[in-house]
Amino acid sequence: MENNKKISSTKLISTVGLIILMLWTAFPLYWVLNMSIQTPLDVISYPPKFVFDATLENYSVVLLGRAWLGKYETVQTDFPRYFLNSLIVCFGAVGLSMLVGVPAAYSLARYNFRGKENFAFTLLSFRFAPGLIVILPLFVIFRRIGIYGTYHGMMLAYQLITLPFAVWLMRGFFEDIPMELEHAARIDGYSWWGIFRKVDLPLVAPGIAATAILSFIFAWNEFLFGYILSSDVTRPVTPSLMGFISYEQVLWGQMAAAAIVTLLPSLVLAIFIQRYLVRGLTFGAVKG
Amino acid sequence: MELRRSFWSRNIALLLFLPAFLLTVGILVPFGYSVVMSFTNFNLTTGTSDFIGIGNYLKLTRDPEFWNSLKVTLLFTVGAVIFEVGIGFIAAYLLNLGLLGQKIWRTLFLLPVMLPPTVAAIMWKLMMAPIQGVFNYLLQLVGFAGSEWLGGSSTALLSVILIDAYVFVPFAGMIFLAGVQNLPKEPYEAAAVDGVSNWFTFRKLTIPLLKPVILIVLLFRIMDCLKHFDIIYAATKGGPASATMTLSVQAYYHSFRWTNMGYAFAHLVVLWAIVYVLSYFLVGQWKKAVSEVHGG
Repeated sequence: MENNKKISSTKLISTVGLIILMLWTAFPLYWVLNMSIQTPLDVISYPPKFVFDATLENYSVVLLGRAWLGKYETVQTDFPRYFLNSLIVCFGAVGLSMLVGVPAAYSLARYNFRGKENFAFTLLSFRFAPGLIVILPLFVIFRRIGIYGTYHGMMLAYQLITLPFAVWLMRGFFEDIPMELEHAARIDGYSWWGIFRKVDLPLVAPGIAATAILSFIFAWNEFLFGYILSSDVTRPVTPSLMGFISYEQVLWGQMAAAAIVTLLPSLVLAIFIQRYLVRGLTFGAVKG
Repeated sequence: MELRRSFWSRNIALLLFLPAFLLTVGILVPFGYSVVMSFTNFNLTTGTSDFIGIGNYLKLTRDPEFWNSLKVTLLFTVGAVIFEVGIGFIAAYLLNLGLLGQKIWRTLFLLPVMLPPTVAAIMWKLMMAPIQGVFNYLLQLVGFAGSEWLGGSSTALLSVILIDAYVFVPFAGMIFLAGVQNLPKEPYEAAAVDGVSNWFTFRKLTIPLLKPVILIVLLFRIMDCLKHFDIIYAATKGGPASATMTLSVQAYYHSFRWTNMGYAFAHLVVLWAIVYVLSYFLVGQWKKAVSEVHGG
């Protein structure tokens, strides 16, 4: 009897704790969604409105890149272009990283050669280095050699984020495949390429997908590289969000709508590869 | 025959490896550039770039703004890491109890970690607005005074720590959760047979077994907080009155607002040295903990 009471009170406290945790997680997302469908008048009203007539005008302004007419100035953020820029740069950066990183990861996982661990640790140290120490010199160098503000320049710069990740994660996926499988295939007379294609590739295919998607998310979420190395024409979406603060006022509703549109790809992709999140976020150190 | 194959396979290894190696060297070039230029008075406006030895570093030691940003960086790191590890642990515990709808809660819980940090900062900035923000409204509704949040020099640092925690509590939480789920069953059964208290099992069994996972969370969070830029820049731009001016943000201002690149590089080299030494130490600790857990 006494014991039962104790168990149910623990359960009650735990349930309350979980509810608080979920409110803390969900409320900011709910609130920004809320703001994004309010009219300019509702969004700055006080007290804040929980119930109102919803409008999709903010989204149409943001998604169609329409001009917003203020009293003293006109603000146009050209959001669709920034969104497209992000897509181009992220696809290019991830493509290059996978093309170069997957073979390197295979080589690290399967062969022994001098300096291999040094190389792996140099890559890992990029993950922990302050971004500006690479971006500032790139800003100077890119301007000198004339690729400042170009897509391919940014794709190269983004390698600092996507390449170490691709190599480290893929190395773990290759190491998960037992050597015996490869030995057996070799005895069956397969060439190196045959083994890689017929034995390894089918087994790491989910790993390759997870790695590509996660590096895409990291590249998408990146702010500093795009902020410093892009021109007005090639600006990615994360730095462009700052553009909703004008001299006249902060465009709360449009900013909220733009924030929602920006976070959507990351969130949707993350739900798809939930299984690999722990492993991905720790560079393969914790296998979730 | 054997010799020929090993020669061939070594060639393959290097061939596969070469493109990534070249890119890595390509990334090391700007690193080297930063270090070299930190010994010059390189300035974008005046166009000078003369060698001045350790002049920038001497200037750092006498620069109160540098010491302030070092202090802010450390305070931010300590605050955010304590918050994230603490709440992350509690969250892992709550999400492992098997309460109703656990799967949905787990998915919902990890969403913020995938948000673009700048977007998270903007979301919270909208809610923390002193006049029409929803936080102050809710606080006043339950009888508390509102706060200036990001706008007050005494509350700004705490506010950006809160935003960082919103994004990275799930990071700590889901890694702890993975660690808890991978715990071996046998020692716990033995402890139950021996009738040891829960607290004792937690202290003497769970914590040591989770040590590798805890160290990984510390490694990633401490490093990310030390070099932190985007949430703070998007939320406060380092203000008000340098209250959230971390080393990275300070270096950004020295480079782009005052075009004093050499001095900015000196900031970054110092920051990088701190990060490098600490990460080297933590990775070593982690490897030791892994071999203890799996060896013992």
